[in-house]
Amino acid sequence: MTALIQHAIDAVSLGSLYALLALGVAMIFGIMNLLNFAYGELIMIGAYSLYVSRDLPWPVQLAVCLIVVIAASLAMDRLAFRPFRGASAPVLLVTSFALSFALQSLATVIFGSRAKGVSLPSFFDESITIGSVSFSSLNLVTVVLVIVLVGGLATFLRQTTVGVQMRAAAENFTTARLVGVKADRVIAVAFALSGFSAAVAAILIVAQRGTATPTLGVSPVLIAFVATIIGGLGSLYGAAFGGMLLGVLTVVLQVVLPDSLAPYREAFLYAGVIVVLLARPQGLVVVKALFERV
Amino acid sequence: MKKNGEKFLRAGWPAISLIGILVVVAVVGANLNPVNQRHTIEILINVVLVVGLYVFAGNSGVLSFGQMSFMSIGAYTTALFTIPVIQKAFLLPSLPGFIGSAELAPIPAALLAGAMAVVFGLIIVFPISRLSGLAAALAMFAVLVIVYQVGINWEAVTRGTRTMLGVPINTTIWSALAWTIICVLIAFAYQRSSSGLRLRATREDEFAAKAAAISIPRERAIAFLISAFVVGIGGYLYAQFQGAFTPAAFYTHVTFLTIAMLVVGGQRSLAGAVVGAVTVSILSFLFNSIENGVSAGPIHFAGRDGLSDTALAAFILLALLFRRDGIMRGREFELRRPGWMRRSGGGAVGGKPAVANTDPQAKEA
Repeated sequence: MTALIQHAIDAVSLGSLYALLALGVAMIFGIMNLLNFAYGELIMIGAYSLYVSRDLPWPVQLAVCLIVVIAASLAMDRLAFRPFRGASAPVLLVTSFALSFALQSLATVIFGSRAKGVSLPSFFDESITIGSVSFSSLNLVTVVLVIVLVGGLATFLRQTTVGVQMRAAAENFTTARLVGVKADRVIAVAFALSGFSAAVAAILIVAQRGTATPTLGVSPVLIAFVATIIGGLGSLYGAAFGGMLLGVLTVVLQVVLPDSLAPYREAFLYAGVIVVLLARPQGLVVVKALFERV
Repeated sequence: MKKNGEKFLRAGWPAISLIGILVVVAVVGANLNPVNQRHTIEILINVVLVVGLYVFAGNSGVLSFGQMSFMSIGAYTTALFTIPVIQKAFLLPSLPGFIGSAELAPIPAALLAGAMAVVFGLIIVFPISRLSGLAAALAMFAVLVIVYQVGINWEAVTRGTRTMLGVPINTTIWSALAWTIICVLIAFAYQRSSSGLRLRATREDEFAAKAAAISIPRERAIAFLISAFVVGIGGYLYAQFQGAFTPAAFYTHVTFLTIAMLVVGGQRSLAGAVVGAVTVSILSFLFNSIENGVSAGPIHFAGRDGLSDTALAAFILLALLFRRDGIMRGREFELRRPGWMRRSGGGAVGGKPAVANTDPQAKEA
């Protein structure tokens, strides 16, 4: 029983992190059809900003991370993606890939390719024991933070004008523009939110790994892509759900697979992804407005 | 007689011109220093990989993040069947007997590498060819991850994360050139075949193609398997060029680099694939040599890690910014008579691009 609760906590905590990553990618994808590879480098930038500001008091350190990453996200949109408005999906994809490659290489130029140690406030490492179940406070922080953020995002999308415009733009960008939604503003807000999620993800990931490297963002962004696609393109809830599912599946496989097959965990996970894609090519949560009508 | 020859030349010109480019690259490269001779082989291997990717992604319009898994299959097949038997007994003691005692010559090994890639392709093609758009691209990415994970864990066959070594080095500039030309011809013959044309029709307008009774999964599957064969050959060339490799050589880096080469060249034509691969490869070697430090007279520029990759990425971004549809803009090299020689009506045989350059998505923009 204790073990089960323990695994459940691990699963939900990992799922929350993946959901957060997926939200950051889905936010941009829904509006401008761009799978943003460089989202991973926003996380990497966040990690290095934590490294650079390591001697400052921790609230300042976290604030620096948030501000730097959101600014980087907005700059990315302005400098790299705005010239490509309306380009086809492969071109956008390769653009974001080239950007991601450029930022990784720049980080190598500036910081070198070796990992830099980053220390975060010690309360992330403490372990909490309730009865016979013990878990790290990082698990708790992750879950609570993601619940608060998703709740906040849902309120933002429902209650504010920009939020409503964003949902409209995600469903049908052309029509939204026709009724007076300012395209560049909506996209900028989406990038700011995406940057925010990347910054939070950076803090959580660095708290877990304790280091910053130029390629830190690569595997998170790939997980986010997969979660977004299986969750349902263009649906934020779908993306969050896809992320949670991926996290839970990862932990389940970790627990269930016998030792001889354990190294193949990820292979099984991605085999599962293929099965989901085959069963529901449009994703688990289907957005009707996205289908091309003849 | 003369008329027929001319017709043939015109019809084949897109392929002949590309072969010409490749021969020039090879001949120039063969006369450079040993380092650049190696780079020349790498360029040719990149051309094979990108052409292989193009056969599926270019003709169908469906991007694939996983085509390099066939490179992995091709390379490991080559290694298993060409490493000298004595070395194999030492490197891979637990191989099944018939593989352990096999030692193939280069050409059979290459064909086997391509064939094994096709066999693996057959396993995954039926589900994959039913998917479209990003779902297909991501499903192929999942395949790439699975192949990589199996590669690093199946120690009995792949040596896991340890380097697979001892592969005989048979890839020279000339053998690489020969295989590259064969692959370009395969790709060209395919895109001019009725199956290739049907697939290109589905790329231009899925619904109209369906209405004309074209089976999209069937045409995609054919292209997918041909692509697997070509990329498998690329894996063979790579294995017999490097002599030693790990599964990481066939993972995300080469995947994204080949996709970038294809898109920079222009993914809608074979010429785009070849030109993109050659251009981006040459530039990456150039940037690399600058990274290692350059002296121009009294000025010495000390290189720094990561600079060449930054420059390469910047080039890709700029290339896309100024040529969204790629360097070739979806066109092939066509042999045309100069305007004053063209008779009205009659001379139009080669006068139009093979496929009209109309990208529906680009137009919407």
